[in-house]
Amino acid sequence: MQEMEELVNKEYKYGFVTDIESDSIPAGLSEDVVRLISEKKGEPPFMLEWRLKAYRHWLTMKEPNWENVTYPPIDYQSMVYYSAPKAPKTINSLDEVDPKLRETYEKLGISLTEQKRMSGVAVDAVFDSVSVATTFKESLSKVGIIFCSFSDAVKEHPELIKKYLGSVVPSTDNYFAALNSAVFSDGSFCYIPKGVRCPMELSTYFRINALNTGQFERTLIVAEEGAYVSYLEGCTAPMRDENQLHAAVVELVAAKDAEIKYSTVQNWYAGDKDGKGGIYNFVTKRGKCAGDNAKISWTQVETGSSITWKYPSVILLGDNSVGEFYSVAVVNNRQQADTGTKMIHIGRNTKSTIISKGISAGRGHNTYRGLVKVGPNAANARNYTQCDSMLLGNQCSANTFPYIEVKNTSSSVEHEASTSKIGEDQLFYCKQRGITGENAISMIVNGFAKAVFKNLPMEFAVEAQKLLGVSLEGSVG
Amino acid sequence: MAHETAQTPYINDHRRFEGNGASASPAWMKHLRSAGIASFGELGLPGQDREDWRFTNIAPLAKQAFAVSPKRDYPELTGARLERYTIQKDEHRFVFVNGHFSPSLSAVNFSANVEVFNLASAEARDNADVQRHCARHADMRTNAFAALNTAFLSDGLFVQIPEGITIDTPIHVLNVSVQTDDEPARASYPRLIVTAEKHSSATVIESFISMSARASFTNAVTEIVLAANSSIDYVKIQNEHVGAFHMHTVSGEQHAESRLNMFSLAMGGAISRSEISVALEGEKADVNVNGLYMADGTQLTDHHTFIHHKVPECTSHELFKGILDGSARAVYTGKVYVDAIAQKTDSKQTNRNLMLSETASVDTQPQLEIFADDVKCTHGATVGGMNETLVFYLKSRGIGGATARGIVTIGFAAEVTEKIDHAASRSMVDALVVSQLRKKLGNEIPEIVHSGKHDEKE
Repeated sequence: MQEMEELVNKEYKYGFVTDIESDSIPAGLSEDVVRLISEKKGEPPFMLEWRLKAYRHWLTMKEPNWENVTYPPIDYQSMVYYSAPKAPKTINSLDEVDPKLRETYEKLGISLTEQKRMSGVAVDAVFDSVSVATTFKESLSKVGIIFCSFSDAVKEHPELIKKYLGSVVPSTDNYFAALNSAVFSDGSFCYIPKGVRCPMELSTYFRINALNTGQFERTLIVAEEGAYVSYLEGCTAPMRDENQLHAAVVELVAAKDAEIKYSTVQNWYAGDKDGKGGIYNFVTKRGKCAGDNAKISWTQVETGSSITWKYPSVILLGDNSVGEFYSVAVVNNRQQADTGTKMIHIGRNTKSTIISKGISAGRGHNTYRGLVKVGPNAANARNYTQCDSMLLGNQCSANTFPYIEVKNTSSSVEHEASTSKIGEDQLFYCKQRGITGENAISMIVNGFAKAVFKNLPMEFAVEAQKLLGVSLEGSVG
Repeated sequence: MAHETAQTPYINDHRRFEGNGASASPAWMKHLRSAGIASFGELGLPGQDREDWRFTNIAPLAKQAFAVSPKRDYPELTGARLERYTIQKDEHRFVFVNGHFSPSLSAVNFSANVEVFNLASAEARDNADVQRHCARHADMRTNAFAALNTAFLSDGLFVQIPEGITIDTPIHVLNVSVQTDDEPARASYPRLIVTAEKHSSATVIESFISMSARASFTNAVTEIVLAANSSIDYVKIQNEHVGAFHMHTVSGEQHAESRLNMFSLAMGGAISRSEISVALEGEKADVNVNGLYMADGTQLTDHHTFIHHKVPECTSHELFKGILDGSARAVYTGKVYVDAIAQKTDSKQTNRNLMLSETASVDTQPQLEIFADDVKCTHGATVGGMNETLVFYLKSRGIGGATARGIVTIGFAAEVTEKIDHAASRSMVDALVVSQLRKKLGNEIPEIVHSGKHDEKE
């Protein structure tokens, strides 16, 4: 079990702070700050109006408290709402990127050059809130795909932004979405035109760097009729003592016959053994199957953050549209996760699948909370939900709160859940065949989560399996 | 706040109630009542902003003021009229009319030395067992309706099965709600306390019926305490008028190796809710909580269950099934809570709903909160329409469409009614289910026949 101890106490691999001069504004939030952010980003007036509307609405809202997590009150006035590395004004090639920044990426193992040459993955690297380099942009633009930072999109494609921004997650949707809408710094925008199948996996690496900067990312992906895109989001954050709030918004729009696959590996700093530090990950993610036969698939591996609170959802508006949610959530030490999904069946013959695997260790609290709602007109809607929990140790918890609301007769909704532990006999069997306890646990847990991993793109699946090993405390034995 | 004003009539009613007839109650009862009204005043009638009440809108109940029923005679209420509610001919029958014990309508014949009396009786006055259990189990600090019931505590039934005694004849508590046309809308507050001493066992049936077709409000509390190795079969049959409001808090406490087998049938009521909580306090205790709800028209039927595994090696099984027609709404929220020390817990929770109409709706939340690692906990929920393949199979054998649907529906219901161990109660529940379906689908629907009981597969 000493190995286990080592595994548990493994330092956060990606814990370092890059010393780059950043362009920050003073802490605090007011209408002036919103105006300043918009001004610094050189945004057109419609964007400022949108931000201000969101901010004014946010002021009227109360922070929600129904979630099954606890944290000290957040002081929204002590946070810095804008922080951008002082990079050269325009970047034509990767060589112009700040070498220190490049070094950071090297440490993270996402060297841009490497990525560009070897893996065929276009990476829109977000370094604290501003997008500094975008690769493969040219080859994507050849097929008409727009993949750029949100700021660029606001300037270069205002008509698309006006049309789709807030169309899935309105600025008034919830407390954190409203906050994000008011102060979002940057993010990614992706537009796949009609009939285009994106030739590569698109990817954004998020990274929170400057001290005390809440990161307010905004991602908007639009797949026009018959289009297909697979989008990867992965993240790491440096070690930090103060909690950082991350309130991102992700909006997906899938038109008729379009498909969007959105995969996340989330490995932000989870705080130390006593829960000190760590990221608050309060995210609103929602997709809309706007047209018939559209499909949206969310896959997430959540191993980091001190608190994860998110429900990637799908609004199944078009007839025959499909929503999927595959999730592995791991909590260890004092991590808390309240995550799940919402499948809103509105169109006829809509289908949704939910597979959720929760793993709790240490003093972690893991909650699956999911809603399956079948409207009166969603004839022949189908849902299958399976949420399994695994507990390692007796100071953690696994909770399941499914909400099922059905308003017609031709639908069928099934929910199954189970909770189990790693059996002593399973462990014994592995050990007796010469597999160490640590490897055995890793093997069993990976087997438990396999149904989700197989939905990840290959390079992510590998990373996810490694992460699982690092994240887990094997208090069994 | 609308809910602030909705509770005011009850607080005023309580003041009047304390001022007249109820002043003869013993001090401990008065004390409980004032605690009850204080708690109700704080909690108020629950609104949909409370998570527990999200799907259950009690506005129609809150809109009306129901005054506590005084103890009085209803000449039209005779033993003959109550005859058809008899579960078993020789049952120990305790009839409560609007929450008040009616000795003339009751029929009791205990041979064993069972401690049984109504709470308004002289025996209850200074009885230590009554004081130890009455209003000690149903949580009136968080449950507004349990608090409201306690605020009007004056009568009810107390049953204590002595150590080592098995009572074969069932104890049937028949709660009758009745009002004449010239009376104001009435509320009744029945209470039942059952305590089973070590190694004892009994069957307790609690029925709720209405003898008049006016809106009424029944707010009942049932407290069941099982000492080590005791066993209780508890069957609740709620078949009040479709205009009635029914709120029932059932609270169980189980000690080591005790066994509680509960069943709840909900058929009547405009809005009915059963809030069942069971605390497993002793190792190897076993609880089964099963139920069937049938709703039609604009009825709203709600079951909330909470099973708290506090110690190791307990088992809990729940199966709730619902048959919904018209624009009926059903709510099921089940929670299984497993404490960190409750290792080797074995728990299963299932909710299945059969929707017979396009406009019916269901909100189901089978929830698990688990803090122990060596447990086996599963839950499942399904919502779906009629299985047309089964209907087709029956039709292909010459059975008419309506009857075929009736047979499939009966089969659906029988899976849960067969979990009632007490045969006469099971027959009563089956008969009620069949007669309800015959009203819609015709008299060709057969009786329910259970082909031998078997354990539910894991």
